[in-house]
Amino acid sequence: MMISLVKEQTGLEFIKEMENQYKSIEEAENTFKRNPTNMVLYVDLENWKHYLKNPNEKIKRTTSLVTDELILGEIELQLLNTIKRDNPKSISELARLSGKDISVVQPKVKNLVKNGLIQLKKVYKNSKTPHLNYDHITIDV
Amino acid sequence: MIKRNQDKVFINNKIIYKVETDTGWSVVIMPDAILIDNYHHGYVHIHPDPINHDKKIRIKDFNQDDIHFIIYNHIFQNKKLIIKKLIKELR
Repeated sequence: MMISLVKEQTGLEFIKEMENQYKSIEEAENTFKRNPTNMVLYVDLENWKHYLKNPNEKIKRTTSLVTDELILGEIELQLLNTIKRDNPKSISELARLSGKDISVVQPKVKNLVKNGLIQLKKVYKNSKTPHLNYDHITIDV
Repeated sequence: MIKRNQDKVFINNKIIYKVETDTGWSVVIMPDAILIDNYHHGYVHIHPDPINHDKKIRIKDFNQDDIHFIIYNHIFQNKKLIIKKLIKELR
């Protein structure tokens, strides 16, 4: 089974992601000089330079996981829908909005984070906000 | 309008990246750091030795999707990357 996660972003958003990952283009270039076998950084740098010149251009980024394990069950899909539709501010609010107990939701959220489908952002002091990383999810069998 | 696509496939502990750039396209296999691209020279080639990036072997003139498919099948069937075998499949 192949699960594909699709995200569309502008060049500017891509640059911000690169800055979060590598801090600055100079630092990324220095890292590549120290480790020239890092081919991912090599192509990231090329794209980064391209989007600095074309910040409004759009990019479609797809991440696919080939797996025999079903990582998306009924509850996970319901949680993803709730995150996308209702933008819950915390995991407790996500549990409440989806009508599930927090003890059921918490491990599922942990797995979704582990598989890269969602992020937990610390927006409020005492809670983390679940954030969907992708625009579309497709499953091929 | 989307001008570029960037694909990343996780399979059998490998990641296959498919990237379009200004100077051409590339397919990268990590963590082995194998690069297949048509940069600079216009013809498709593989860099089989990540330590010696200058070493390149010309391969059959496949397009990026074909290369990606061959690599995907290779890793799927062998459950790992066998670089000599892959080069044969690409030539």
